Amino acid sequence: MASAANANLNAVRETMDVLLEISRLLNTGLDMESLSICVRLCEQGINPEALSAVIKELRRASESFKASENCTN
Amino acid sequence: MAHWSTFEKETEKETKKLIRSISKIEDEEDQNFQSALKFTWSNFKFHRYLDVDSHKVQRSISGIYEKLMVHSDLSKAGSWMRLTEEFLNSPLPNTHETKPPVPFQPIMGEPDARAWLEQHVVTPYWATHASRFPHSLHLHSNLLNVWDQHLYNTDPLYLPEEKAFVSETQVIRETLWLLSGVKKLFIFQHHDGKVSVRNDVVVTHLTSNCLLSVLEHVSVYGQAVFRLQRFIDEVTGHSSEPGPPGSGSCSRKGSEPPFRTYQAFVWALNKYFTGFKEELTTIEKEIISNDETVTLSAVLERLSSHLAQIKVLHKVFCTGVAEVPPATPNVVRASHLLNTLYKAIIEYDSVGEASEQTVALLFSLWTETVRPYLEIVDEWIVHGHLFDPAKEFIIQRNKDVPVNHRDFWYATYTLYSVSEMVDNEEKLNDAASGSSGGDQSSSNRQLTMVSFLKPVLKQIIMAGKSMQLLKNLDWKEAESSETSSRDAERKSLYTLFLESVQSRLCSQEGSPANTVSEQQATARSLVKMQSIMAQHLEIDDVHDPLLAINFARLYLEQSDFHERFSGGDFIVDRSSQSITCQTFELTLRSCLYPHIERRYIECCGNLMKTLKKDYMLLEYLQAMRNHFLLEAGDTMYDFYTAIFDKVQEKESWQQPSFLNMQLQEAVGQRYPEDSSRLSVFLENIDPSRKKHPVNNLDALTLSYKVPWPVDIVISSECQKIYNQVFLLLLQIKWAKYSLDTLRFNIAEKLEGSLGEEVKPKEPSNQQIHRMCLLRVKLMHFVNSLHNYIMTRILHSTGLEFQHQVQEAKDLDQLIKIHYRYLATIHDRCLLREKVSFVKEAIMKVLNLVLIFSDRWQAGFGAWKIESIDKVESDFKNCHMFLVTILNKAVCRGSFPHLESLALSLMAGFEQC
Repeated sequence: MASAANANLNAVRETMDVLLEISRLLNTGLDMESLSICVRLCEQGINPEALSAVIKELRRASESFKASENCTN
Repeated sequence: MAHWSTFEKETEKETKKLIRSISKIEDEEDQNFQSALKFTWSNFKFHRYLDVDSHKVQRSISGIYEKLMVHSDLSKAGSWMRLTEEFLNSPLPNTHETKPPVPFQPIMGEPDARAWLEQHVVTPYWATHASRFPHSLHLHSNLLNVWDQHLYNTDPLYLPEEKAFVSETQVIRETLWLLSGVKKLFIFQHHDGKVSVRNDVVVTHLTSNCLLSVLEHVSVYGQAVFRLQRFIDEVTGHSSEPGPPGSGSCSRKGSEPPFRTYQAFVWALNKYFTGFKEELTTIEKEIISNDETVTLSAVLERLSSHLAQIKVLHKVFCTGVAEVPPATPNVVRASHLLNTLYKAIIEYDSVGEASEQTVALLFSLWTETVRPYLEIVDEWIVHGHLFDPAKEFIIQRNKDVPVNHRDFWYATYTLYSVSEMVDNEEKLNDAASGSSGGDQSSSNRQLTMVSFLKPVLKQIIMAGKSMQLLKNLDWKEAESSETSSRDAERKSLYTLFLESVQSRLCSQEGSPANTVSEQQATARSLVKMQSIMAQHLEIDDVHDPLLAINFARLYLEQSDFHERFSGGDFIVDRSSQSITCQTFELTLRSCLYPHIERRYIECCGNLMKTLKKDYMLLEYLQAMRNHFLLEAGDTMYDFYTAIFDKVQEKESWQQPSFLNMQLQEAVGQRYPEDSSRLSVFLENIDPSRKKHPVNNLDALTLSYKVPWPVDIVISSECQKIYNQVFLLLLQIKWAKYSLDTLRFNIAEKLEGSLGEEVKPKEPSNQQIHRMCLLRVKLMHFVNSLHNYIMTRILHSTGLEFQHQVQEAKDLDQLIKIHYRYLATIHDRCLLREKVSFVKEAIMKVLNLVLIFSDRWQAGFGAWKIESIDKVESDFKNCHMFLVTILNKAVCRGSFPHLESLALSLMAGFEQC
């Protein structure tokens, strides 16, 4: 049982590594943590395109928020 | 957000993490965080993106690869392909925790999978104490609670019970599953073939009684579906539940031949159910896709026509199959099923347009079910081979009787006739070769077997037996004609029937271009006809427009039928039980019966031709007439005169060898082929009967050996009758011969034997004269009788018989014609029991003749005047008696053929 669990663990870890590599190749700017969050959200049924649109929008909003904060500062 | 499910809570958590990680806002109470959260949620729930499509993803992957190649970034392109392939081929991980250093959670085990399904797919409403799902508190959605509250308030004894809550969608889906034959359900309980509804299931928007009544209405159909499905499984051998030992299907599987009619019926039912289940699946898919609101009543409305059809099918099944007692033979089962379907079609057909769909369904069912039956009929009437391993056809072959047995024609097949309304079974062995005697006697009270075949049953039997006989007759035509080689291309009866039905239906519908004008024309003629009918009805003081319209339709249909199928191909049998104007009956008459009739005519015609050409039937009949009825006068003259001479010489002639030799000599000269077949026998006659000289010849019996198959027509019973007539003719010929051979040398004999001994009381010349006169009178009598019999009776009847034989269409008819011919001759030769006194009178006269001629030959010494007187007076009495009787008969008009005899006898009668 433990070995099976271990084997599963390794497989999952490897897959995540591959995903991270792909994400890096595509220049998404996602780190491991964000990537895992995205994967979990996708598995829970969220539409990936909607998710990516949200992420892009959030980034843009936070950039502009930071920019406006810098200006006021 | 207390009402959120676990799933939604998880997503909420992840979303917050995502926002934290991207926007770097840690404080959840921050306004920006909250707006980001709201924004994220609204985009997750209400977006316009399509679902993930693997093809699109693949295309993007290939596109990116191409782009990288185009940009000459080969290493990147290579790693891109490698990574994507690796990812796509790896198993999908299921992660729970986020932090990378912490090892990922292992992949979930079986109980967790169940839990996941329970959380993400549907709440298990079938489990006790299932969690309640949320619903609105609007009155329409909350009717159950409101009603419960009302009952609680009004009825002090009311105790709310524990109920299982389901949604309407779940109810609909369970209904659909019930109707597709699933047994293990929650709402509908299946017990011993009965379907009942759980009484503790509720929906929130209906009271429990209301829901119960709706579901009970559905459960009836579910029960019907189960019953039919069980029957289908039993017959196809797929029964999943083992029945009790000795129950029908399990024990029947390997050893018994398949019951094809039931199988065909099951096949038709199966086809229907396939269509029905497709409809159910379509509805279920619509429910799953959730594009529109689907309610239970909408679903039931959509399925209403199917449910009505299932009800009809179940009814037909119950009457036609389920109510049959288990030990019934297959013959009765098949016939009962076909009859039930037939009756059902007629019944629904009479309703008119309201049940067109039902009639169509039943008709297609009937067409499928009747296929094995028609194939059996086809095989029999085309190849002469009755292939029926399960013994389901109403005509059974008696295997003990081989084909070339003498009784083949009568004893080979048994017609199984069972009365439907009476409980006793009467098996009628059909001894009269093919005539459905049992049916005719009891057709008034009860339905006969397989009523749709009744009008053509005789033809089928005749054709089948004829084919079988032909097959065994070295049918020379078969080898030369191409029919045997083209059997694969030959269309079976069933195919022809279907084609005719199709063409009839298509011709009724008409081409699309003409439909409108045809409809208009039909409508106009219908209106015209209806007004005529209404006028007619009003004469009888009946004011009923519906009746008038239906009459009008009736007459239009009839005229249409006659236009299309004019020509005397077949006779519309108005004696059948149903009204001939029914569409189904018309269809049968025009599509099935003509093919059978045609085959019957062809087949029986071939048999007749073969018998006449190859087996010389006519020649044998002629031979019988030649020798028994003495048509070959000169030949038989040689034979019988030899006997008569011996009798006159008082020599013993009762030796078979002498008789046979004479016969052979006589016949061999002109009819050499018959000489081997003819023979003479002497029967043992009761010695007490041999009183009179005329009965001397009674022991003589002629026998003609007729080969098979002609002996089917010329049977031994026929020969007996021939012999009786032969005997009579022989007696007449004997009398005639003995009179003809009397010579006029009596005068010398007279003078010679006179002389010293006796003194004549009268002058001898007068005596001679008297004897000559008597002789002439006797001769006139005998000659009249002889002529009458030979010409008026035998010759003319013979001509009639020959003519009828030419016209005979099948073997049965031929046999009947032959029998009738013999009966006529037997009758007219006064051989019947009823007219035995006439015959006795004639015999008496013939006896007198023989005595007279005997005495004449013996010489005058044997004569006394008293004897002559006696002979004269006896003859006169008999003559008078016969003339009176015959005149009476002729005046009454009962025997017109006796007129000539009466006249000629009267002419010889002295009035003084």
